[in-house]
Amino acid sequence: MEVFGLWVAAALTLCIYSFLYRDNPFYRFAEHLFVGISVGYGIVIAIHQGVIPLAWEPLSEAFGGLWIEIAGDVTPESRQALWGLFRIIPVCIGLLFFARLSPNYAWLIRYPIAILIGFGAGAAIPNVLQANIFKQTQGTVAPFVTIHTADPASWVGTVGAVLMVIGVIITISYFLISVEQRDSFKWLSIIGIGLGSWGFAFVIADSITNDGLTATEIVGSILMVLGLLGTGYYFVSSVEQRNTFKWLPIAGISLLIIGFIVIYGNTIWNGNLTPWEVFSAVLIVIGVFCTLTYFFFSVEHRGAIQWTSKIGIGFLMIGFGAAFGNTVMGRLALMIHRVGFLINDWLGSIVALFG
Amino acid sequence: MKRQVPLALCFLFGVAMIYTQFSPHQYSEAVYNEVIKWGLIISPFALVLAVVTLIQTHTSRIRFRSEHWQYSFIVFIGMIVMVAVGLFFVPNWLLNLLPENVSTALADVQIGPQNPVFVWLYDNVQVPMDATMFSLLAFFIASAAFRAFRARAFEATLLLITAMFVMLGNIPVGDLVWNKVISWLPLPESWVLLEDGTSRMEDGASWLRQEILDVPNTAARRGIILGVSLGVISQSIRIILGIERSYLGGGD
Amino acid sequence: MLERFMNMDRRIIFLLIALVVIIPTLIPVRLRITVSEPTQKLYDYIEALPSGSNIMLAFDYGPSSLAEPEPMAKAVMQHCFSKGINVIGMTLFPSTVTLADKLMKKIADENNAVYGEDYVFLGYRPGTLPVILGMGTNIANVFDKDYQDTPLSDIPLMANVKNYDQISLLLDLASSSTTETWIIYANTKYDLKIAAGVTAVIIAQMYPYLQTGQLVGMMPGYLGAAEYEKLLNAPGDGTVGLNTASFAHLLIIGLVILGNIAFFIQRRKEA
Repeated sequence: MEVFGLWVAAALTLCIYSFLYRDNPFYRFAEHLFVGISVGYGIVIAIHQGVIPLAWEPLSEAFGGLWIEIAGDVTPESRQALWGLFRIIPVCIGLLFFARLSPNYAWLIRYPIAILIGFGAGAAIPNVLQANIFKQTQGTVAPFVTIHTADPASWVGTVGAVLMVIGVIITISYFLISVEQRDSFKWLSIIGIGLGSWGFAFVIADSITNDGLTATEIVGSILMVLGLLGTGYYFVSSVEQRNTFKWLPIAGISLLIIGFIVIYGNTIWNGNLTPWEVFSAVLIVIGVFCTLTYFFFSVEHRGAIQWTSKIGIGFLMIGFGAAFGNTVMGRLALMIHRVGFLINDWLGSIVALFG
Repeated sequence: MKRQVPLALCFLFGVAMIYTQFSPHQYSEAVYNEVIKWGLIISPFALVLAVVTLIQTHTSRIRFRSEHWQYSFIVFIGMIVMVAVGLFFVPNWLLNLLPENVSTALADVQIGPQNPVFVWLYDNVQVPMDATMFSLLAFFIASAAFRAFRARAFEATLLLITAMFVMLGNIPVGDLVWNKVISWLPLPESWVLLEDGTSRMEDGASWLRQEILDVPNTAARRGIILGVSLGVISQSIRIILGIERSYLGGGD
Repeated sequence: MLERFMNMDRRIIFLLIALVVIIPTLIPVRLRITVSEPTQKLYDYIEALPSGSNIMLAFDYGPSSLAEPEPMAKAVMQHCFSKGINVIGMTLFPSTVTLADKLMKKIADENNAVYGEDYVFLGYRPGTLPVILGMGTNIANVFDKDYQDTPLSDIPLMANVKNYDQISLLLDLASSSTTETWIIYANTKYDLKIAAGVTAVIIAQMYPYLQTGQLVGMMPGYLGAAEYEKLLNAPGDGTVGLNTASFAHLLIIGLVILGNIAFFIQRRKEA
């Protein structure tokens, strides 16, 4: 049976490879057989690894408990099992997926879908915020500072963290508004970005205070916040206003850089970070900033934004290039595996037969 | 009933999930666990949608005799065989009625996904075809590399050069060639050797690959993550609040 | 001439790529492999775990992409068994259950590991998100039985494992975005340590998480499998595969360069 299986597998593999010459009945046969077999497999697994252990078994246990209850031999276990009867509600909701079969009642499948979607959305909000926004932002500045967002003893850090959360929430709510309405709600995003950057500054200031705040560090932090605010303001102001404020992003970014040098020049000078590490970390900060700019301001790419998003595209291209280079390895791996099967397993078995 | 109730359910489950994740109270934890349980119970039934769509597509192909309609029968045969083998079982009352040697033999054929015929079909039909189908992409990527991968503009050139360096860094040949070239170059010793006598210039191909992935790639991907996550969060809020309703589909 | 070269039948390229894979498969070569930082980190993390720790292995790839994750699973399980670390297997992919079950058995047999004591395979449950979140409170809420239908309470290995608190690491062998899902939900909410063994296609998107430490380590595709095998000093399918892939890589790099040379010559002619 094992040898027969090997031949079946090899024959089907060759059927599919025949597509490389051109489309043909062997390929089409294999393709359709694959669809049928894999759907059949999926159904069996969904029933045996899903419906039976999660719905059928708890329910039948509960009904067993109910039976004992009716018969009068109540035990603590049978009482406990009765709670399982509540599970009949989600099972019935799950069964509503079968309403898809009836044109008149197809709308009933909205019930289970709505529950699953609501569940997913509710689970996503706090976790995505924490894992993908806070942790990722933290990671961007982590090479320079040790951040103590969770240190309850420090009020500066706590205020900073709270401000950051509020800032992010307000910025998100700006994106909730439809594009047409956004013009009249521009202040929302200004406040959001403003609060966010102040919070961020507080958090940084806090981490610095923990090992003694120096005058240069205070000056540097203030410069960085001003720079962030200025640049943020420019990005949310209207196109007409931007012409008057052309100098703003340049001044803002320069302030950011000066503030950065004022704070960290010392650390770098003392050799805590090698020039290469600093270069890499700074490059990440610039890359994240430019890529985000490219995404958020896709409508009007002019002046400073044009340049920032151009750099953003450059970073994206390097990212996609790296992904392409890796994809080549991945695709080849799939093929090497199949060729290995044909040569070592299948042909190997034939050679062994005659050898 | 058709729209309001689903919207209310979505709101209820969404809010329950958000609230219970923050509140450590024991009732809130019980609700959290119960909501997860509901999610677990409802999820397996969702497969019905995919299966029904597939069956409808192929029955209509057969009914309207569209191109290659004959092959749709193979889809059904494959599916029916797999389901029949995978769900095959003999109820206990029937086992008791049968003669003993037959019933023990039947009971030995394990029920469900562990059935030997089911496993045989999976191993020798499904897995090889799935793996081979996907491996066709190796041929297509080679052909695309020759035809479509052109340094037409600055951006494309950047992508192309990065891809080449990453490819070289991914394979052992990259470092082999690099180390050979370095040893041929007449570089001053202080450039090449570190204080402990090891070479600082060794394995440049994998070093470059690692730096590309670590720095510019991380920056670009992080930009994407931040952008997408802001989108996911605002979309989730819109879904829970009932502003976004496209998941309900068309109709009233 | 140039026209004809640029428009050559793509089946010629197919034939070339087949040859550069078939020949090294018949005549294997062995080149030196450099170990990258993400793989080293994963190895060091597992190496530092005390005997008796538990790690969870999520087989989150379809049969379509089994080429890369299988040698990774083999290398890591071999490492775990040699150090007395228990392995708990499961999958979020319905199409992988039988594959993962057989693979674990095979690797365990090669390493004389005992089912129920050194390793266990829980199987599959539908609905990714409730599965990941549900196991955080109690694994038995999601998997009340293992894949062999043995209740978890009867499995010695699971006696001391209630939820993620008793699991030192989750290694996600992934071919899609499941690693991100594990990070966002299991790591953020339950503080479960996550590592990844990913197919090459998704390597690049894992790096932001490596830098923040949300991923403790990663094996990048065939390269990662080969690197881990090198660290264990036990060359296997990853090493063989990576060496074979070298030649096909060189061919593809050559094709890109040739394609571009032809493109530039043609553009100059037209200009």
